Amino acid sequence: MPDKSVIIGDMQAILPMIVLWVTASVIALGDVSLWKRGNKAINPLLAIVGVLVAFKFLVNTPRVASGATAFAKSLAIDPLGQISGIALLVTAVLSILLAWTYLKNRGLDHAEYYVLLLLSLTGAMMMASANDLIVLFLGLEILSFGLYVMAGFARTEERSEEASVKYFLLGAFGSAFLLYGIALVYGATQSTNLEQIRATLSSSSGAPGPMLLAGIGLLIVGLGFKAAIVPFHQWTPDVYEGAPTAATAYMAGAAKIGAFAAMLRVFGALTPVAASWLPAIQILAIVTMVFGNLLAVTQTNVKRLLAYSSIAHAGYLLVAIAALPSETVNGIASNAPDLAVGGALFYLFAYVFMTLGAFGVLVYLSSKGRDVQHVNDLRGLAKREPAAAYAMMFFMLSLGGIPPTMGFMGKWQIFYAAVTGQQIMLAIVMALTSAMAVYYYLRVVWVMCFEETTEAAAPEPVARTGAMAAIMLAAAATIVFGIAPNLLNAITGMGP
Amino acid sequence: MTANLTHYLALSAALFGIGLYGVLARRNAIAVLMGIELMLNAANINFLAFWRFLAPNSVEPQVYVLVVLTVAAAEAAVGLAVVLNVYRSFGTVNLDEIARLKG
Amino acid sequence: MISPSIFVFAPLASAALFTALMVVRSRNVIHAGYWLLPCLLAVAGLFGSLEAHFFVVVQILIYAGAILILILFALMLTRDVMDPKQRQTTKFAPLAVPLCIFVGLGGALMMARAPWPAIQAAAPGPAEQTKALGLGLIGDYALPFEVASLILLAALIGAICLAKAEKEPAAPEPVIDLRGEIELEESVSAGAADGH
Repeated sequence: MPDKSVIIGDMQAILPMIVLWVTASVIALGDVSLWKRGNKAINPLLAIVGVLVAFKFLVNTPRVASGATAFAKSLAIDPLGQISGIALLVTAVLSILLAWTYLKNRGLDHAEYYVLLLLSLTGAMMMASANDLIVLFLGLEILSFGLYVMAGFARTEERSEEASVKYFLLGAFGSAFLLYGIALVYGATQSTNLEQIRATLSSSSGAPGPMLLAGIGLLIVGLGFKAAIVPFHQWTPDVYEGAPTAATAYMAGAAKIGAFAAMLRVFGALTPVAASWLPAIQILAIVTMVFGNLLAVTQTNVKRLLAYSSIAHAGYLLVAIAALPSETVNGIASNAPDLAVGGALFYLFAYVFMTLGAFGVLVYLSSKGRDVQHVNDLRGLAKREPAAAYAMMFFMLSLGGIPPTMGFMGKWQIFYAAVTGQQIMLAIVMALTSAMAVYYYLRVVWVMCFEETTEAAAPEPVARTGAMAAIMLAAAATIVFGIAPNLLNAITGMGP
Repeated sequence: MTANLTHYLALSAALFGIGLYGVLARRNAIAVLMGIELMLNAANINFLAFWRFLAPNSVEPQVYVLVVLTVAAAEAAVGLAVVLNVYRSFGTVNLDEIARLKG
Repeated sequence: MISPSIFVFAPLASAALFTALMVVRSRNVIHAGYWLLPCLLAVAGLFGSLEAHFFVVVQILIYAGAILILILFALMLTRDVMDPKQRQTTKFAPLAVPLCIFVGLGGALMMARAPWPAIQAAAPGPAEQTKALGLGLIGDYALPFEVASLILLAALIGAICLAKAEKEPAAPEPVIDLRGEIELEESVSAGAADGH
């Protein structure tokens, strides 16, 4: 029988997730019993309050350097989990604001959206602090179930339905790979606990057996599907394009953070056998960076462009993963792993602000009969909607990695970690492909500022306050944290 | 003659391969889902074989199998809702024909 | 019984593989769904050969009982759209065959080559196993257990959200149909009463 203090400690570790789950339940039950689907504004408001309370609890959790765990070691209480948790909550606030505007303007304003968003957020947070492969799998499944339904939330639109069925089948396929990989890793190491796996692997001598190799390979495939890594990325453009824009924004943020927090953890634990997986990650990183950026160049749909851009960003984040095992360089202890984790987390924050901001501009411009997603829809935006256009400009510059934005600082940190970890080849490819990416991001800016608008006056959207607030928050963060990156570190407790 | 761990793992790998074929080759979305179920079953055989041969006194693998069964049931429910939703407006569950988004 | 006999394993394994092949190869998707039943039962039998008694029951109840029924329902609701005479495979199929043979056989051979420690302890009996599992679920594995319930909640809300009909004015239609049938029944029974 565990003593009382242990139970309280356990509960404290999952308190933010409990808050999110309770909020989801309150919205679900309240919507059918108390406010009877009448008051539509209360759902997003409650959701935001829930996320902020969860944020408060998450920040208040005592910071332990590392090694603290809860629930018989199945959950880690460490900076990686807490900081990626903060990134997830930021994603949630921005996407609730966007959903508020988007769902209202498109007549999809149902409480279930917020319920599913909060539940899948719970799963993503579970995934980010999972210290056990099976908890990671469960978190991933909760995250995915919410996303499958959110992608198909516009149930009368064929595009949205197609997106949900594609996402579901590919997602379930990826999960099956992940699960089989977990089974094989369990067989090879007799444990699914990441700490235990690391201890077993570092104490065993000799080359890893075929079963461990197969297991690691399947883990890479399974997580690769979630993180949209080439060649497991085929679903991404279709799903991003077809899903309701607000859901796409949430998906882009939450799934990426969840998948990469999990990857940082899993590959951190697999460091003792790095020689067996590092070449695969290096090749995947290069392929993802090159193809993501190449395919983005020809896109004329902004949502598809952002989908390929998110694939390319997954490639940059893989560079950070590749720098993880460089614990010693030329026999001298190196801080490359810490730099890689810190860089990846900073980059995830930058990615959230700029990507959700860019989707936010599309949400801001969309109205009942008009779903803005083509580049041509943005023509002459600087004259029509100067605030949205300038915000979009900052997001595009940040996505392209141009100083003094947050995107540049994030890329610089990963680049620095890669150079410190002796991943010179990856650093070079990263710099070259980033330069190539500037072209298609700047094209969007060009269209907004220097081309004349061609279309007739669009119907005025019903409500746009939520989207404007999200855009402004994201734009401010992109610039402020770009100029003063240490400010973000101070707020989140990240880095030294 | 006794069957050992190798037999079970080999069987599970073969079942996984068959499920993989179902996912890659079938055009019917529900048939694809059946392929995924076969892959999950293969993972369960693995877990229980590891339990029996490597750690018969541990409950860990058994808990995982229970978890996987739960996930599989939930996945089937969500999956069929998604598929029926598509069927309502496309009038088909043929994945080749569900392709309005240019890819 | 320290280790399962090959004479138990071999028939179950061949049944599982044969039926699984039929699931993915049947031209008629309904037949594929039916083939899934013996396949899941064979897997339950394999669990039995591993002395995982509890999971034999769970596999039959959840997989063969619940999941298979769901799948069969979905197949029947959408059956008119996939004519068995139609092509059933995607354009990837020719590529998928060698890939899957490679994965299946390669995986099987790889497993056969791996060295295994020869632990042959007896498994606990059915009662002890189930008790240990129950204690595990409220002890060390409380988190996965609780989170699994969250998964069910998310799946439930998600599935309802997708499946429920949009509010449409044509909703009362089935009521009219039913009333018509009741009237018909009443008139029939009245007619029968008159006749006697």
